[in-house]
Amino acid sequence: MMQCRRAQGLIDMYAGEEIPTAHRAALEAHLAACSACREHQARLEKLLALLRRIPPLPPVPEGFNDRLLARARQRREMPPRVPAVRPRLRDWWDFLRAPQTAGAVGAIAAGLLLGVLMGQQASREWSTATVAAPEALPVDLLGGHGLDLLSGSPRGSFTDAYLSLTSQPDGRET
Amino acid sequence: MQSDEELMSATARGEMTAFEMLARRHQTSAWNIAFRLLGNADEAEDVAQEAFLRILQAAPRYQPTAAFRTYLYRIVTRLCHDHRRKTAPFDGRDPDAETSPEPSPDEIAVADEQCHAVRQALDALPLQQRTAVILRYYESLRYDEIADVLGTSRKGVERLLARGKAALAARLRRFLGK
Repeated sequence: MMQCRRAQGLIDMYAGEEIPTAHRAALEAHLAACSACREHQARLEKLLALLRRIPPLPPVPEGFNDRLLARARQRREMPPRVPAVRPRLRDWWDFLRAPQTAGAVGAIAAGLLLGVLMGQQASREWSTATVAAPEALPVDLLGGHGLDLLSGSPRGSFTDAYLSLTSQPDGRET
Repeated sequence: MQSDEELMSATARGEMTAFEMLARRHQTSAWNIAFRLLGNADEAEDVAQEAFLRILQAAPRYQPTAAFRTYLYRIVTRLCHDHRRKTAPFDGRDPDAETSPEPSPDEIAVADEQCHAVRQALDALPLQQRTAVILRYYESLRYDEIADVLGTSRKGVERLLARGKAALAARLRRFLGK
């Protein structure tokens, strides 16, 4: 036996003759036995009759098609939107081939080459000097660069004064 | 007589006479649904024409997966919904549940009370429910066609129609009796 909820869901399709054949007989049997669903069907029919009381719509306005075709022609004649185009490879090539661009590019390239060569030479000289005389490097790296504040006894501090008083000129402590 | 699909193919090849025939054949359907959803002749004409122009533009990409009429309804309905959303004033209510303006005294005098009540009840429905009700009970579309137009399932259409009918029955209770 079909349930009332299911039957009431199908009544609308039944009214529109759209109900699947498999459900038609079951629904008709349910309606014959269920007064509540018959009442639901009657209310639906009343509602649909009421909805149809709205007077017919006005006809399509005169000249609708002429105006439509005019708009269609107008759109076809309008130039298509040009999307933002990124420069192509060919454009870049043409730009580079221009005489003034070629001169500027050549000067920049020569400058870069010169910089690289000078850098290589300086690097070679520095590494040779470091390997040959490592003792030539300053011993007091912090003091030599004014960074003795980071050391244990910065110049002018109490520790420095004490150490100078208690030390011999040759560096030994008394 | 050429079928809608044949006319669409010819339209895609740039034959404007085919497009004109298509528009003449379906202009009433487009106009009816636009007018029912918008309730204004100028707006309905503008939207119905815009739908045909979109079809013309999209003709080369058209795939006849559904009936042409369903395809047309889908475009008109979407344009109407967009139009409604853009023009509806924001006042904190559900934008889909706008109601029609109060009729003038002349309109009330002329209009039948029941007819006026039905219009108001329809206008008070949320847009999706109203569209489903209009497509079903005024344009006589099948459930699967409505589902295609609204981009929902058959079950979704059943729910929309059930809620729509319940809301209409509640608003029109005094005319339905016991």
